[in-house]
Amino acid sequence: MINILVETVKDLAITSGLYNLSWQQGVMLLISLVLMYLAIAKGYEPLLLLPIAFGMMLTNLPLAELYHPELFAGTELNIIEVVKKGGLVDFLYLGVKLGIFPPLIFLGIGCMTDFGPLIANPKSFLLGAAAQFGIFGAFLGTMALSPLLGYTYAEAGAISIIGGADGPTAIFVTGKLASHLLGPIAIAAYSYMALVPIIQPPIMKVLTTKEERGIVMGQLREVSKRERIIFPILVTLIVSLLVPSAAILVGMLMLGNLLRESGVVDRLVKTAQNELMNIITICLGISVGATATAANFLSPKTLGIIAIGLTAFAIGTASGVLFGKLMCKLSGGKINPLIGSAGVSAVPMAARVSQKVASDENPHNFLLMHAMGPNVAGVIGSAVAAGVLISVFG
Amino acid sequence: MDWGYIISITIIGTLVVFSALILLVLFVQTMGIISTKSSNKDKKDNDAPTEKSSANIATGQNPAKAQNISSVANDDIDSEIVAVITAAISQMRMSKGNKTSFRVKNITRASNSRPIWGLAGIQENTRAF
Repeated sequence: MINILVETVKDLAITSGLYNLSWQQGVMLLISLVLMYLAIAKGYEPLLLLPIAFGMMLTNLPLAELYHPELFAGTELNIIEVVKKGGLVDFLYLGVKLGIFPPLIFLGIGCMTDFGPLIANPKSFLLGAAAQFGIFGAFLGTMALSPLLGYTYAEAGAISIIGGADGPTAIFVTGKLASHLLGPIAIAAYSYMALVPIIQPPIMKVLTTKEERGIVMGQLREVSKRERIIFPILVTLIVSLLVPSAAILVGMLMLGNLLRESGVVDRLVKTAQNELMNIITICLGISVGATATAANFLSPKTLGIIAIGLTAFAIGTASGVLFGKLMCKLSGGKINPLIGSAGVSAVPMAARVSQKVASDENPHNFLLMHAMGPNVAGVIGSAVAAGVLISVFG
Repeated sequence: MDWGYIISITIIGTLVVFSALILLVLFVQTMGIISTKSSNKDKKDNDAPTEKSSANIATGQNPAKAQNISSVANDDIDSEIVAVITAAISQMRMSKGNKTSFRVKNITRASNSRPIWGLAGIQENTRAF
């Protein structure tokens, strides 16, 4: 009798998660708890970081087997296998793997974005382009580290997109080029986006003079409704004709904006920017977090991604500010170079940082709307850069 | 690892991003110029009758004695804005029991002026830092 009892307890203990917990899974559970703390207590991009961290916790629970990476291994995706063996997390992950969730997030972002400052001052596009040096600088950096960490070209392309400071774009590109790195890349991208107010100001201050930071820019012209309606159609056509692989990202962003500006589909706008966006955010967060298994995450490559991501942000900020300085010189001192740093996307945080640094110099200087131009141009710029990387390495 | 390939990808990628966005600058700038011209034309067509009626409100006087709206507003201030300011002054005077007629002689835009609600919004949005 006692023997049976002991055997039963022993069997239960052996099949428990605690008994089967490896040290790698323990570390991953700790990391997920730290990320949850950062999202909840510090407010670091909580909308995505919280579901990502929770997805990370779920996927690393021993014996739970919520996510099956083997179903998505290899170049060909076997949907029938996913249907037969997959569970909730595997099905949600299809939305990332097939590139469905990021464009839908872009639809919602388009509904929420006012491109007015960019239309009023189209030269801001150049600052959005300059900040993309962060992406290509990071690509060079990743390849330089390749002999040490063994990054492939496709992996380098996926890692470098962190420099675009655009979460959905980073997830979209990584899902296409190096889906096994999805967890570390998404976490690095969102963490650094949350740290924009800490990373950017020192770089901005080092690269500009007190006089440049104090430049007060003239008020932007009023943009007509006709221009606001033509703009999304124009951007979709031009970008998609030049870089077809960016069509889905830019197209959905601009569709969202056209819905908003047309003024005739309020119900669709409300759904896209609220319910749809929130549902997709939950699904995206859980599935991206679930890819961060111990085997994928605890590797030297992750450390490389974290270091390269920070460098990419710094290069993007610096190149935006330096290009802003060039435009300041060419315009006879009419452009405040601080708006250049907003070209790294991270909407609207990067624009708010430009405003904050400028108002530290002169409390009556309001750069926010001027910085929103390069900020939203950065979203378009990083989508174009993403298209280039996918067409080359995809 | 082929550094020639890596550098050429970097250069081509940067060039594609810049050329796409430069094209957008050109198209959006052209659109802005066309739109500004057409709205200026519309404004000119609409201004004549509006000026007359707004001037009447602005002075609160006989139309024959009305001051021209362009001399009231020095900068590019819409006649509707002049009418709104005048109405606000009139309302304030009436609420204090002052029913005598008045004349708005001059309205000048303060340099770098910003609506107080816009200012409050910006302060609210940047308070986190």
